[in-house]
Order: sequence, then structure tokens, then C-alpha cells
Amino acid sequence: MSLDSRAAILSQIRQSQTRLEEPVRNKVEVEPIGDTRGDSENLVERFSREAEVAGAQQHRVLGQEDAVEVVHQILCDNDASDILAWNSTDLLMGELNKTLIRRGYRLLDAVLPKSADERKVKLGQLAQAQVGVTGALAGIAATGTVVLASGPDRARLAWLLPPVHVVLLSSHSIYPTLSSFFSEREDCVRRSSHVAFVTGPSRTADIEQTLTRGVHGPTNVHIVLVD
Amino acid sequence: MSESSGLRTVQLFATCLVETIRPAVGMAVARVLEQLGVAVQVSNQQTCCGQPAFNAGAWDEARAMARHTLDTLEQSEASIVVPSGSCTDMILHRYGELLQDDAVYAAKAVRVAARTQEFSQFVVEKLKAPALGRCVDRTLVYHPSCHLSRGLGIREAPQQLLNGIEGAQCVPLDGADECCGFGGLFSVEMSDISSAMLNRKLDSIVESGADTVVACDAGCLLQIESGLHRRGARVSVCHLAEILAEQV
Amino acid sequence: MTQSTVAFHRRVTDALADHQLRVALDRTTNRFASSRLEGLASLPNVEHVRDQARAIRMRTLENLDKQLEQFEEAVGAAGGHVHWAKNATEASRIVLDLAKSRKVQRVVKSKSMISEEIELNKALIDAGLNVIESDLGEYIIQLANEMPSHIIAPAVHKTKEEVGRLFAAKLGVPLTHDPEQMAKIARERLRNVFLRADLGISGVNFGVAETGTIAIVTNEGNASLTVSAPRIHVAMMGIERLVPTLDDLTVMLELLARSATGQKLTVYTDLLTGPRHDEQDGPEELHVVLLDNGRSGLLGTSMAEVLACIRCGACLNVCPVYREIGGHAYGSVYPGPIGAVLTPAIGGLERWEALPMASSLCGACRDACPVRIDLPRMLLELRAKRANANRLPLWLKFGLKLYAATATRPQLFRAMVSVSRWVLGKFSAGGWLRWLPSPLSGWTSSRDFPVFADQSFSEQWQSRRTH
Repeated sequence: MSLDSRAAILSQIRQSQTRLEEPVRNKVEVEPIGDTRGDSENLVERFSREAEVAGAQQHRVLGQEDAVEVVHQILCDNDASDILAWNSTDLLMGELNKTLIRRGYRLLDAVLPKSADERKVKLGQLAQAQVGVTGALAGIAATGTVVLASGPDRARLAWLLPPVHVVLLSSHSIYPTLSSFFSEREDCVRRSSHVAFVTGPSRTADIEQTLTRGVHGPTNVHIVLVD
Repeated sequence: MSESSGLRTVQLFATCLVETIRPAVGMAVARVLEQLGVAVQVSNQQTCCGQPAFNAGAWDEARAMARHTLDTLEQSEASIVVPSGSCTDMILHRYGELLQDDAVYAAKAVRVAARTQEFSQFVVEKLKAPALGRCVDRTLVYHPSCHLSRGLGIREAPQQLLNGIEGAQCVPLDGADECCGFGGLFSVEMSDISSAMLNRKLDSIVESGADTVVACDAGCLLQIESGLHRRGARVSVCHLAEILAEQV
Repeated sequence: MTQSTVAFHRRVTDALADHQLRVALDRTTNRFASSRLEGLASLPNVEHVRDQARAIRMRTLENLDKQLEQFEEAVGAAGGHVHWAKNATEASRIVLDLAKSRKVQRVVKSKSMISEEIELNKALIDAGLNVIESDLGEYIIQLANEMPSHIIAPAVHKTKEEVGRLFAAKLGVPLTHDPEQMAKIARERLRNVFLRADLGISGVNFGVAETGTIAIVTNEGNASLTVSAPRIHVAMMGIERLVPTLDDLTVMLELLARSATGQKLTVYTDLLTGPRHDEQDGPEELHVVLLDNGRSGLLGTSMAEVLACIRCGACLNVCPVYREIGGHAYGSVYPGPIGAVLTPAIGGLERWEALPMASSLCGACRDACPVRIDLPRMLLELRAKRANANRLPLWLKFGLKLYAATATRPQLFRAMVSVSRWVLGKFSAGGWLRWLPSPLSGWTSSRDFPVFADQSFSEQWQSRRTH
């Protein structure tokens, strides 16, 4: 049935092409959009400015160890005990998890079982986490956006479920614009089933245009910018 | 048509609303142009550009009127001046597609369009916007009609001319860019929506504190004046040409 | 007047009498319209970007068969499935069959206008499934059992008091008028819905043909959860919502949020390529349902460009008609200028002939459209279609025939003008009429009408010349 519809739809489309007066255009040459200038310090500044406007909280640190301390502080401030964290060796997450475990935090394992019922049980458990800690593939300076790409050790729900999201971003991974990001990192969508561009905490203005934060996604986003 | 001689000739296409309801606009356009050294011709064959029928979807009827208008305007080689943004837009942008299957008239449409201009744009561009008009202590507010500003891209010329009027000051209009709600037959077929839109415009006009509202389209003027009259509001309504032609 | 036109006029009357609605519409449209200007101002070379965006969309439409085939292959290569639906019935059946075979009982949805176009929720609920909308605006109108009234902000017509009362009545929560409190309630309720849903149904803002990626944008994050928490993800997509490459997608993304709300980007832009790979989480299955429902029939016609629409809602926010009557008056899932063209184009003029008439053709929509769709031109074409199908009201049809007959015969025209002048004069007082007979009585319901001038312009010109 779907195959018949497929044939019917494609046939209708092809028929319509006989009505076209002008020849089909060539591929559109897309030019890069936005301001791509700026050295890395400029980029960090721009990124920070935009991220602040978007409502993210930012912490700039020098090196891995300081990053760990800042994360620890955020966890304390939020009375966190259960955490969802990415477990990758890249993205600066290296020693972080080990340190957090040593300091008594419970890192929930975010692997979802394949069976339907078990999945729901696990989801219920994951929903208890107070904070999610992840890395970021990149940042986008023009908009203050962090790019979060899913992977074997990088659960989507780690940053989606908890009300607080802490994201570690290398200050050297900031691209000027969305198009400059894609011109280098197109392959990200081939490696990850989910690439999320996140700009600040969740928000809505659906009730009388009043801006409210933290509707479904995280209410608080902390960006730890690591030099 | 020699500019150096200082005298040129134009055809005035009055439009049906000016013909019937606001003839003073036509007379004012002629007065202004003659003041600026331009001779004015008016063909006694002109009637209507066909826009009411076109907007209603009655394109056969619109074509008939378009052909008649083109024939009329081709009787003379003089440039054509139209005191209406919507009629100018019709001639410049709609005649072509309306007559695309009629080779003869499609060509006429191109030729006529090439020498047709809306009044304020003609005065500013071709006659170099001299300061015109004198009043005593008038406060003017300008309503830019949709076809004039969006259809033809004419935004500066009317403002420039208004600013050049001695003894008059211009005040801004809140929501100036918003449609007055005329839309031709829309004003009757969807009269309640048209009235709601008009109300908004009238509120802005009254709030502006002006004693006179000025526009370049007789359709907008009709809509606005009819509404103000129903309200009993003491705001005069006039076409740009009328106020430019005013001498104290 | 057809029944549907009568119904339209009735809805308009109701809307114009609804003071609260007018206040809400003013607030929303003003805010969005001015934000849009700010947003576009932050984009260098914005006019050039708009030109590119239009070119991308139009090229895609011209090549739609190849684009769809490429998209289907890429989705498959990434582990997803593509289903093709000719119409609403088929699309609903595909989703229902899928739900049945996977023993789905609970469904969570993120915003999908397609699903509203085909009334998917009703089909699912009638089949015994539990369906909950997760976008706050959609959640509100679902509780209220209403249609969306704006493409971007479905619940604009509701005051916070109304929402508070709705929540208290339907959710059994204490009455509150605080939007933050209400958002919190929604978050808590919907959290459970996400976690317990068997199936997540989303819309698609853009599909990318080259990679088989679907892009979804939200501010709330509800789509991210809808497509990640449940085991199965179904994405509903109109066949026209494709762009060829990721670079093309970037162009659209730079314009979409700016045109809709003035933001440079929405809070969440999700790019989904296939279901879960060797990853910790994500859905086990991804199904894309491609819907035609009259779209392919528009290709290669003068109406084709309406399919370039990116559903930003900018046209609604600048439309002087929408601002007066709101979305519900249109009676369709797609309101405003885009709705006035799209709805009759895919749904037929017989049912929707009033919509193209509800416009003064001011052109504000065309100016605002990020992909420069010439909506006024298409409104005029729909009007011509109506006239050609002999569906003009009789008075208009004959009135215009008479007018054209006189306007092409100048002497007759002048005679008619004199007669009309005489008639109007007879019923006037002080140069004005307070009443015109039907079908022109609509004019005089709120305006006076002037008599014709004592001397027409050509009469004045003639006498001037002879003196």
C-alpha cells in the first residue's frame, strides 16, 4: 500500500515537471552566512555574550582540574547526589567521572534496555538525577550555542532529563557561525543519531507571551568554558 | 518632449474614483503640473483601469477595461501621470500578466508602462521636487497607501513633498504602514473586517493630533473620509495633490 | 453564499466581538512582528540570505522526486523507515497499524501541523490510544479541545486566567493565574507522559535529502524528549519539507527562528539521523511518514511556491486581517495569509472560497515572508478561479459585467455616472448617505458614503477647456 502510494506520488511529481517552463536550476551555491571573522579570543567573547543573552550561566576555567572543581561546586549548589554523566575520554570528561565517584556522587548508568517494559523502568530511575554533566562537540559564537552529539558513551537523556545541565566546552572548539561549523563537521550527523544545538535553558512564552524557563528541557544550563 | 524648453506635456489618467467622487484631485494635479511648466492633456476616452474587476477575479472584464485603457493612453505619446498608487500598480505590474496571452496588447502594456508614473514620484523625480504649496498653520498626517509603498516602492517622494509645504507641519502616524481596510470590494464583501481595520486607522489619525490626513490614493481617502464623517471627527481629508495646489 | 462562507462570516463576527481575543492578538502580533525585525537586523546580508533561501526551496520543489528518493535512501541507510501516504486516511492508517503492531498504548506528541491537518489525534484516540500533546501551547488547546489559532503560538487566544481555569478543571490542580506556576505544572505532568509513552510522534521542520536527517526546532525541549524517551519515534512530514544538503539547512535555520520569534536560533535544534546506533539511548525505531494530501498536485502550477513555506508565521504577524480576526475564524489548521492560500489550494475552493476574499491585498505578507512567497498574487489567482467556476455572488458578477460594458464605452460611462449621481443625490443629506441598500449595506454599517461630485472630473475639465 505504501509502495503504491510511493509510486503514485512520485509519478504525480514527475508529471508536474513537464509543466515547468524554465529548465531546472543548478545547485544553489550557498555562501557562508554571518560574521566569520575573529580570532579565538574574539570568538570566546562573542560566544559568552550570546550565551548570556540566552540565559546560560557561564564559568571560565583554565585547565581540567579547575573544571572539575567548578563542576563539583555546581553539584553542591544544587544539592545533587545522583548524576547522569557522559563517559567519554574525549571532550574533557576524562578524569571527571572518576573524581566525582570518589567524592561520593552516584553516577547513574544511562544505557536504556531494548525491551519496552524494562526501558520504562530505567527511564523512571534516570528521571531521579538532579544534574546532567556532558561535554560539547563545539560551540557556536554567533548564537551562544553548544553542540551536543550523541554517541556510545553520550546519552541524549543525560542533558535532557535533569533540571540542571552542566556542559564542558573547550574554548578552542568554538566556531564563528552555524555554517562554519557545518563546513568542517558535516560528518557529525553520520556518527550520531542525535546532534542537538542547544542555546540556553528551556523556555516558552505560550501563556500570554510571558517568558517562562524550564518547561521540559533543563531549567538551568551551566557552560564551563575550558581554556 | 524637450526638457530644455521647460515645457513638456503629460497625460493625466484621472482614475474612476477621481472622476466620480473626487474630481478636485484631478484639477489639483493639473494645477500643480501647470505651475511647474508642464502642459496637461486629458483624454475624454478614459474610464477605469480595471482593478475592481481584477481584484474580484473577473479577469475577462478586467482585460476588457485594460485594453480600453491602453488604447486610450496610446492616443498620445506623452508620459502618463496617475494620482493613485493602486491604479499605477495595476498598469505597471498587473497589465502584463493579465494580457500575457494577447501579443498585441501585451506589447502595448509594456510600452505604456514604460511611460507611466504615479503623481508624487513624477513630481519628485522628473520635476525635481520643488517646494510647493502654502497653508496657514496646518498639522498634517500622512497615510501611505499599500500599493504605493509596497507595490511601487514609493515611500520618500510623498513625504518629501509634504515637508516642503510652507506653513504646514507633519506629525507621525502610529501604525502608518498598516492597511486602512479599503481593498476595493473587500470593503463591502468583508465589510466587518474592513471596518475593524478602518477603526484602528481612524484612532491613529485622531490620536496624531493632525487637522488633516493626506494620502495619494482616492480609495484610501474614500475609506478614511467616510469613516471620519460617520464618527463626526473634525479632521479634513485630502489628496497630496490638493494640498500641494493650495495657495493661501 | 455557500454554507462554508456563511460559517466563515459567523466566525468572523464572533471574533470581532471578542475583546479579549483582540487584546491577545495585538500583544502577540506586535511582539512577534517587532522581534522579527530585530532578529533579521542581526543577520548580515539578510536580503541575500532570503534570496538564497527561496532559491533552495524552489529548486527542491522542482526536483522533488529525486530529493525524496535520495532522502528515503539515506534514512534507510541510517536505519530508519520511510512510509508514503497519499492522503490523510492513509497517513493515519500507517501510524495506527504501526502502533497496533508494536502494542502501543500511550503516545506523546510534539508539535506537528501535519498531524493536525489530517486529524491524527482523533484517529488514534478513537482507536483507543492515549495521546498527549507536549508543547505547552498544544497541551493547552488539547485540554480545551480547540484548534491552534497561530502557527507558532497555538494558544495565543487564551488569557492566563482562562488557562488557569482550564488546568484546574481538567487536571485537578489548584487554581492559579501565574504562568510560571502553570508551566511548572505542565512540566511535572508531561514528564510522566514522556517517560511512560510507547510512541513519540513529532513533526519535521526540514528533512535533509543528502543525509536523511530530520531537523526539529523548539524552545521547550519537548520535541527532544518526544523523540528520545519513547522506544519508537514517528516523524510526520509533508513531502515538500525537504532541502538538499546540510549547507542548505543552515540557510533555512538562520531564517526560521528570526522570522518566527526574532531569536537567532530556538533553544533546541535537533538533527536526527536514523534511530539509535551503538548509543546508550535513543529510540529503537524511527519511522518517517511522508504526506502528500494534495501537495504534489500544486507542483508545476502557478501555486507551486506556496509549498516553499517554512511555517514561520511571519505573515500572520503582519497581516492586518489576521490581527483583527485571529486564527480560529479561518476555520482551518493553517490560518492567516499562508492559510488563505494553502487551505483552498489543497482542500479545494468549494469548501474554502471565503478565505482568499478575506484580504485587502495590502502585501505585508509578501514583504515579511523569508522565502518571498508572493501570497497576494496567489490570492488573486484563487479569486480568478472562483470567478471562472462561476461562483461569484450574482450581484458582483452582473455588477462587474455591467461596469466593464460601460467602462469600455466612454459616452455610456459618463451617462451612467450622471444617473448614479442623480440617484445618490436623491437619498443623501448634506452630501452624504447614511445607508446603502444590500449588497452594499456593509459599507454603511460603519461608514457614510459620499454623493458623487456635482460635476465629474471630465465635465470640469471640459468646461475649463472651453473657457
